[in-house]
This record gives sequence, C-alpha cells and structure tokens, in this order.
Amino acid sequence: MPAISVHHLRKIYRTHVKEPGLWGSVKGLVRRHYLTKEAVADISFEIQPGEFVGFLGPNGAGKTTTLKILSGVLHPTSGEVRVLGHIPWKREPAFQRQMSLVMGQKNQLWWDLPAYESFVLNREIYEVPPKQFHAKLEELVELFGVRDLLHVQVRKLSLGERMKCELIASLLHSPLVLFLDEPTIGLDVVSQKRIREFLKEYNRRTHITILLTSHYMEDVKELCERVIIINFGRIVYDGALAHLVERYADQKRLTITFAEAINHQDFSRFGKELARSEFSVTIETPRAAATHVASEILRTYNVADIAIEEVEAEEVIREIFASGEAGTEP
Amino acid sequence: MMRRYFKLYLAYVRNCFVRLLDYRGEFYMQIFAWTMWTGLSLLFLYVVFAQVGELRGVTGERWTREDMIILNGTFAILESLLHALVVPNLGRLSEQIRHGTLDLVLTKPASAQFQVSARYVHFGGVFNFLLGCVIVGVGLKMRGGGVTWQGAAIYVYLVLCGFLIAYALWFLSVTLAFWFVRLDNIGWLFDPILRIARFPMDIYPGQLKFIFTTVVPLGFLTTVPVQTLLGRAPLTVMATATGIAAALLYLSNAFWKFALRRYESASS
Repeated sequence: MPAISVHHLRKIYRTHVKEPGLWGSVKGLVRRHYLTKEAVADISFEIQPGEFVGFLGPNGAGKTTTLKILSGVLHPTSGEVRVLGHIPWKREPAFQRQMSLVMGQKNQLWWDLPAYESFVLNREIYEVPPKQFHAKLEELVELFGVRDLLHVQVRKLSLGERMKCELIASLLHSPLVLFLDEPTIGLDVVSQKRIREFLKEYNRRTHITILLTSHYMEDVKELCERVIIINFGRIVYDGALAHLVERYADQKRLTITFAEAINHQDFSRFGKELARSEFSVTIETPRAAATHVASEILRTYNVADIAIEEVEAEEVIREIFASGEAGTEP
Repeated sequence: MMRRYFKLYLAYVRNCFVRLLDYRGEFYMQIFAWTMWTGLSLLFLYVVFAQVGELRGVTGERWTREDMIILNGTFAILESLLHALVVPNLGRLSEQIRHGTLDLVLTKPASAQFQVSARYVHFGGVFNFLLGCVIVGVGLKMRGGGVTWQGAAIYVYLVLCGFLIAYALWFLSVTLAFWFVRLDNIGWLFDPILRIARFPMDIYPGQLKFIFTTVVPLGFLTTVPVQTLLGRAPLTVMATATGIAAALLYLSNAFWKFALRRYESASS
C-alpha cells in the first residue's frame, strides 16, 4: 500500500478583490467582488513508504496548498487523498499521531523558552511514553548535534539551529510521514547543507516517508531520487531527477580551452556559442553530435582542455516552467 | 480524556512558569498594575458611597455598601481569572490566523479549541485573585451575619460558572476573526462589556436588565453568585447557571468548528 496516494486533487480559493482607495474599502464592506483562483488544478501521484520525494515548482504553483491538504489543514475542492490510509482533513488523532508538518517560515517552538520545554509539551500532546520520549530525544540530539542548545532560549539560537530544533520537535513522536515546506528557506549555505545531511540520514535510518517542497534546487538534487514538478497547479514531471535532464535537455555543453588566443575565430558551425574569453569558448551542441563535435575540434585546433557537460537540472526546470510543457516519466 | 487534557494543561502551565522565571520584571509589573486597578475601583466605590447610603435596584432590591464591596471583590476574582487564563490566549487568535501558525495547531492530535484557549497563563493575575478573595472576606465581615459553608461552596461554584460563561462569550466573539482577519481589538470591546458586571443587574432599567440576564447573561458573572452568597437568590439559580454555561460552551465549540470549516476551504 502506498504511504500517500492522491487522485485528481483540486483546490479552488475564493478571495475578495479590494478596490483601491478608502472609498473602495467602504464599498467592499457592502458588496464584495470575488475572485476564484485555482491553486491546484488536477494532481495525481502516489508515494511509497520510505520514499523521499521532492516537490518542485515556482511560487504560487500549488506546492504548499497540496502539502496543507495532505497534512489535513485544508479541505480540497475535490479529489481523493489517502495518507497512511486516512483521509487527512478528517483530522483523526490516529492519523495526526503518525505524521508531522514542518514549515520553514512558521515555528512551533516557543520563542522565549528553551527548545527542551517545547519538546516536553509535544510529549504531552502526542502522549509519548517517557521512556520512548527520552530514547528518541537522545537519538535526535545525537544525530543533529544540538546537545548544548537544548536549554538555551530559542530566540538566542541561529536560524539554522532553530530549524534543527523544529525538526526534532516534529520527530519526537516518531511519525511515519513527514511533510516539509521549505525547510531550508533563509538559511546560509552551510546550514542548508547540514539540514540536508540530517534529513537524508534520518530517512535512511528510519525509512520515514518524506515529501519536501523547496525552491532550492540543491535541496532536491541532494535528497530526492524522485521529483514531482508542479506548475500552474498541474504536474509537469514526475520521475527521477537524472532522467529529467536526459529527457528534456537535448543539448550538451562543450567548454574548450585553447593553448593559444582564439581571437576572432568562428565556431558557429559546431553549435551555438554561449560564452567566449581570450583562450576559451563554450558551445552548445545537440546531445547526439556532442562527441563528434568534440573530436572535430580536437583535430582542428591546438586544444589545452575540453569538457563536455550536461545542462544543469535547474536550467531544465526553468525552461519547463517557462514553456509549461507537460509530461511524466513512463 | 479529562486526565489527558489535565496533563496537557500542566505542561502549558510548566512552559509559562519557566518563561516567568526569565521575565520576572514583567511579572512584578503585572502584579503592581493589577493591584492598582483593583485599588482604584475600590476607591471609586468609597467615593460613591460617601454620598449615597445604598443602591436600590428597579425591582426594589437594596445593595448596601458592604454588598457592593462583596460584589466588587467577586468582580476582581472573575476579572483576574479571565486576565490570567483567557486574555493571553484569545488575544492571540487573530494573529495566529493571520500568520498561519494555526495550521500547525490543526495538525496536532488534541482539540484545537483547547490548544488555542489554554496555551498561555499569566501568573501576574494570581495576586489580584487573592486580593479579590480578601475584599469579599472583608465585605462579609463588615456586613456581619453568618455565611454557611454550603452557601460559600455554591458561591464558588457559581463564580466558576460565571467564568465559563465569560470565556464562552469571549471565545464566540474572537472566533469572528476568521471572517475579519484584523480583529486584534475585539478584546477592547469585551472589556467594557465585562465591566457591566461590576454593578448589580438590578440597577439597570428593564430592557437592559433583560438583555444582561438572558441575551448576554452577564448577570450570572457576579450578581447571581453574590445574591446566592447573601442568601437572596433561590438555589434553582445553580441549575440555570449550569445550563447557561453548558449551552454557551457547546455553542462556542459549534461556532468554532463552523469557522474552521470555512478556514479549511477558503484560506491558502
């Protein structure tokens, strides 16, 4: 049985439009004009237990809305969802005890208190037996390396330390499913990397199912074998990250460094020129022709170094967003 | 079930106590402010009763200076309970809706109404609570005439009902924040309404009295408990007070659930 299954999920918001100016506000009190916005148009996917799936999409694509529906905060307009066999928005305690939602921009830890006090509170909310609580806390503290931080007020912690404590708070009841909404937002590169390492290790150890949204490509690249890309409320791609590049990027990049200055030489017959300096040039050529072009260049010029690279996944995704092309991996 | 929520409540209290140790200055300031507040209202009472001998309600019920002291003590008790247990929580609800932290509350396996209503405790109200008790005691002593243990127990029970009624009314009004998201100021509306209960309901003219005893049952906050303590109300008011408190609590929960359904389908 899949841990998460979603069929034809749809969510429409109704918001009222505020007319500009004071008079507009007054009019709005009497008669409102409503605007419907389709946040999620039609989404279907399944996630197996233990998977670590990345949910990618530009702002407003519907990622957070989907996550909130899956965690039971919001009601969908239509569609069928099961998480661990439960309908999330019924908010049955039996379901809530087995999952956690962590949002990068919203904290559950109490600002003025040491994180440990918030952990104790969660112990009561989730009714974790004391013995299990201490064992789990010990495991997480060890994994995250935050032993010295437990008794320091949360407001005195750095953003990265705070996120580690947020994660511990949400894992103390040993959930089977974890929803992460932008957990690395605003963190510096080093903290991001460490948070990623912990998540990866925790997923490996416990086989917890994780669905993570992010708009940092690095998060997804390092953590998730599978990505679901969503744009305008629809799934654009669902499959392995590695295949995404092969599938959508039909170009490869050659960067050639010459032994002598290239002056005004013309390389247009090899492909599209992307960059040039005194000694080097970068050319984009069709995937199939890349090796042929490389050997041609090596034969013709005095080459010091040549590199053939894939187009960055980030760029591929950006292009998918721009073109709105749809497709799923077979 | 009850035991579970009691344990959870203890955890909240523990949290708030740990915080208190860190902000002792704030704690003392609260005590000071509340004591001044109650002291000033007693002074006001003294000034009024220097001029008039007693208050006579429209029904002819007489409230002497001693009765009024007891009523004000009861009001101080009720007010301190509300400010210690209710205000710090309900004052935050609209902010929680606006910032979306309510989302996290909704993912947790405990009653959401309980979580948003019981999370914070202000210990600064404790002293005012004790002060209220002392004022009631002094009023009774000045008045002379015995109070039975039974009368005192019923009084405590009725004050508790009054507290629950006030909480439910307050909760009903802050739940409106789901429709009007910037509703931080609803507390300022509730405070003057609450202050109506500083005086016996009998002094309000007919229609107002009707409203305060039935529509918005403020009479059950202070007037009824004091009347019972002084042996001026029939014991059947206990059943009425219990019924009103239970009905309002139920209503507040139903309205909360209704508002949540709207939140679930409308918010982003």
